[in-house]
Amino acid sequence: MGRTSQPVAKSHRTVGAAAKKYGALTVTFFGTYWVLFIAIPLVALLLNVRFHVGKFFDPSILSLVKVTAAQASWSTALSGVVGLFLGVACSRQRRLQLLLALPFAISSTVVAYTVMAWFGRKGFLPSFFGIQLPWLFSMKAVVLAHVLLNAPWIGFLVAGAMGEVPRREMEAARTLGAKPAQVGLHIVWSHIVEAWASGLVQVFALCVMSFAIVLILGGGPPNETLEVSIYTHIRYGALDLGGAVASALWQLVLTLTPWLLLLFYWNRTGVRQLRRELAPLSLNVSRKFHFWDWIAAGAVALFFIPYLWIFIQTESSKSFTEFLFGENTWAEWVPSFQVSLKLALSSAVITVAVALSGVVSGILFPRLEKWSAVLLSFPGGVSTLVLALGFWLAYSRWVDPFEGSWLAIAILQATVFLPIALRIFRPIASAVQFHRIDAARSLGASPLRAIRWTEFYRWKGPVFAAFGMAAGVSLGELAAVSFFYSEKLIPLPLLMSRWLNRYRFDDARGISILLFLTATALVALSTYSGLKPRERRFA
Amino acid sequence: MKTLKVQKLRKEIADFVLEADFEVREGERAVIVGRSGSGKTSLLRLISGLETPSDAQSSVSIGGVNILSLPPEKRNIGYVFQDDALFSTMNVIDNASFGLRMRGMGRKQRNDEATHWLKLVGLADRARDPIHILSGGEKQRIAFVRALIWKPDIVLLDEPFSSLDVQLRAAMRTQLLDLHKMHPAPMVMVTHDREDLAALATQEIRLSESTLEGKSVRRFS
Repeated sequence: MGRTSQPVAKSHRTVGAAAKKYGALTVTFFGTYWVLFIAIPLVALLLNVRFHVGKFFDPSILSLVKVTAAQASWSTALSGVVGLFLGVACSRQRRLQLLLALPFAISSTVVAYTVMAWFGRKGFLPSFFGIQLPWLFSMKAVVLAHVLLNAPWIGFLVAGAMGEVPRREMEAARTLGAKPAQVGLHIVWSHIVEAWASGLVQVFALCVMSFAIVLILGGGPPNETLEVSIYTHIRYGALDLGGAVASALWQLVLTLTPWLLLLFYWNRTGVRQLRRELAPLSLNVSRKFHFWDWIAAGAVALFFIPYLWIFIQTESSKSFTEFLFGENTWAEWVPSFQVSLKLALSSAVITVAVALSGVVSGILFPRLEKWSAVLLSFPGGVSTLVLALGFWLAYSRWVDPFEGSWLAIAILQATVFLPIALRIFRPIASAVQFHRIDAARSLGASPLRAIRWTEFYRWKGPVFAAFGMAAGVSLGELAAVSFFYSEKLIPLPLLMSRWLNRYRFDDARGISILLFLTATALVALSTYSGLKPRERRFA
Repeated sequence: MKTLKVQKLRKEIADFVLEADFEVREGERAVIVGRSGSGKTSLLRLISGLETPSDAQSSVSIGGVNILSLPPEKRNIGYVFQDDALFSTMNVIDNASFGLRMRGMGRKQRNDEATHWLKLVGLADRARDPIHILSGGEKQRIAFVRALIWKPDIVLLDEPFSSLDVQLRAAMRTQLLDLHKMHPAPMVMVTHDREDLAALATQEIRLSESTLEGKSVRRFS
């Protein structure tokens, strides 16, 4: 019996000797980066554990583990339920799905400030409705902020998966006697459950790694998590390396477990499933707005209206222009803005270069395809401060957190964004048109020119998208910044955090707006132009 | 004795009007041959309820009962899709027995029934396999079983052999004939291959074209 639908072997990979030459370069670059900035720091951290074994089961550290796990579990469970609803509701509308993707642009510092702006003593709800949130500075507030940030992300993944449910399967089920609800239960659910579950796993890891939100809304000890504890043991009060290493090791256990679960799942279902997992950024066909779409739009709005409050000026607050051009504030925020922009652009360049080299290595050497995906996704299981601590331990001869290091911050921010870059590049990489490259070469084009004319237009958009998103995310990143800052190197999120500590809420609001506008503009522009590359016809 | 009667069925599709008038009795296999884009698939989708006709006068009846107002799941029509449309998240036996499950049959009973049918098509040993590892021919046989196992009132087949090679097509035709003997419901099959017509048809539904008020009318009768 013929097996006509078996996966076709990629016999078209005929780029040959030239590919091997360029491939060796990309593999070397990617491998060197990974070993230097991910493997060696983690090994240095693990080697350091032997000096602090006693700290590992210290009751204060174990209590941090408990608080971190509880916080992340609650945040994940609530985000999962809300996100599932959002995803299903928005699956029909591309415009709503684009909105769900916006949290990429919102820095966690801004999210934390927004919760304060709503529930703080002079916030919107107490001022207008007299509603006080007695638990504003507690783990409950942290969970609330995490749901605000992560539920749209889970919704985005679910909506993407809904768009990939084969219409034919739904129709087949109807002809076999399934009612619409049964089609949803037996067919649609089986297609979206994987995306939902993988979203939950990712959100759990993100909530464990959360830094800015816990730092601002957690209310301090005993509501400290492992990530914050790494920071406080190193840069807050007396230096306690043992406490930091013990916290980092527990943190690794909590964040690597979900990553390993995902890896086990990918391994079980094969690369085919990995490709599906990595391609949630495909958006569904847009239709005319119907009644249920308006309801969905209302639900989505609940997750974005809160951010608008930071733009609204009350009688007692300073206007944004006063903040921008005020004599004192101008001198303070402009240098920080310059530092932030410089960091964001450097991180974005590093992210794109490393992610591209990893992905291209996988294309040119198919045996490395799975490994490059695994290695690029690995930072998704390691928190920024764990990596930062390892970085310091490994390279303490050259890098000192107390003197500040611009390069260390840029590398850390770039590294933690690699899994997202992989998400963007992988679908493009898995559909390289080798037959077109062959056709161009048979017409006399050199290997590089053949790639230039057949592949460049497919990659241009995603490369810009990854660049914009990496820049947007690193603009509001606080963890790496807090570890390696110096008085000459104070980016916007750190300045905002300091101003909040000094009760300069109006000025902190100004930075929130600045961060929100800059990051949103970067991400929105790049997402819109980047994620929908127009297929240019090969003439 | 159930008979499929299609009367004055009419649907306006982008650049032409589709009309159909024919009858298929129990045990008969009606075959429609036509080029791509002639409206063959649309006709099957109209009969199965996946699309609605444009004309209120249209009638599709099975055993004398007009089913046009019924949703697809209540029409009792087995449909084999062109691209097999097997459920990619289920294994072979769950695919084969889905129609029985939707009719409330218990797991053991439907698994026994599905195993019996899978034996008939030589796939009993692949019952627990996921769909994506099967060959085109194996998938097609499961699609036949899935459409027939729950004994639908009529069976529609949309170019079921189009993705198979020539040798496999011949084997599949024989398999289809055997299965149809097991459950001789009225069968309507569309194809672009005249060999299917010669090998399977007990009757041919012809496609004729005319023009009415400047619009092309394609009539199946």
